Amino acid sequence: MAVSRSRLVALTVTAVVVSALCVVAGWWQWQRTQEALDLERATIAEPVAVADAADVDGFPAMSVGRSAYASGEYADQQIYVGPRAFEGRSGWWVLTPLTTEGETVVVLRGWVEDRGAAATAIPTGPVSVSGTLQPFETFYADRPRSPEGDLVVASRPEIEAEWGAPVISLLFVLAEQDPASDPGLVPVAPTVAAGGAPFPWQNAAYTVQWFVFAGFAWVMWWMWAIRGRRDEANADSLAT
Amino acid sequence: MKGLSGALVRYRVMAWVTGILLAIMSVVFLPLKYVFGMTESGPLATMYAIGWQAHGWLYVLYVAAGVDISFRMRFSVGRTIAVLLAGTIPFASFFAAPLGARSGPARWVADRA
Repeated sequence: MAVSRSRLVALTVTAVVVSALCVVAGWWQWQRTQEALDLERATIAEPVAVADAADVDGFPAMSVGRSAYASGEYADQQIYVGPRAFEGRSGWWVLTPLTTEGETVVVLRGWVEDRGAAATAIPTGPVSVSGTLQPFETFYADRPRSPEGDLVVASRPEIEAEWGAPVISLLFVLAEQDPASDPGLVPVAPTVAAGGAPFPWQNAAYTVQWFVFAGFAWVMWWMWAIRGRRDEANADSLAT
Repeated sequence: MKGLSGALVRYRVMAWVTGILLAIMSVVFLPLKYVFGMTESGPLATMYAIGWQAHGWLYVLYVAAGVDISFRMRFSVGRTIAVLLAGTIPFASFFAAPLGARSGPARWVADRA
């Protein structure tokens, strides 16, 4: 007995409906992938409180390069890192600890040509700062200090040893300070940009899987409707 | 017979692996996330994400093995769909695996032997 016409129609209609549902579900997962990505991108673009982006133990990868802000007071323990060039001139990075919510943030306040300049004076009283978070430097971290005791690179262990306290694990590159210092230091441009948002692999995988299931529906249709018909005609066709 | 037994082994392995993973995910990890909120970050968050992604791909393999065994053993359309859907319900594939093993048409197996 051949596969009846009504059974063939029923199998075909079922395959169309099932595969269409799978494609719709896959498309829905693809939309969710895009939405998750957009949400993460928006989150990364939004400035974050330093304490929420990193702590003394570490930081999530997405905190690198993010805009951040903090309020607190500078402590009287300034470190110079260098020599660092700016527009062909030799000078120094100025690193100052900012105490915020009981934590110490290393603020790269800026660049200065002369360490005795008035601009290096540490602001007193409460300040609000905004800037960019970037990793501490690790290259050449074991280089000896200059005779004046200056650091060669902005190395976190060296800074912690100098200040005697753990610091938040990302360097804060100052962009704005309120109240502003006058005269001010030359702002240092951050060397990192915010990274990409983590890709939502789960939703993307579900997208692919739904499309695979849509394909399975047609494999099964073929087995039942086409090969099944052939099987009935030739009882021995199941040989493998 | 060889093809049938190989396909059966593949199906049973997939039924067990998918079933055990789904059982762990639904009995342990779903409450961890939705009742205790412990999968926000850290190793549990990673395990949660990896677990569901692994389940997604394993279920694809389970369906492939299930389709294979269904045609080799000439299940009806309804039984085939029941076997495939069993992989999506926690613990159901544990019952589907032996069910798949028992229900082969003895006459066909005897013909081939």
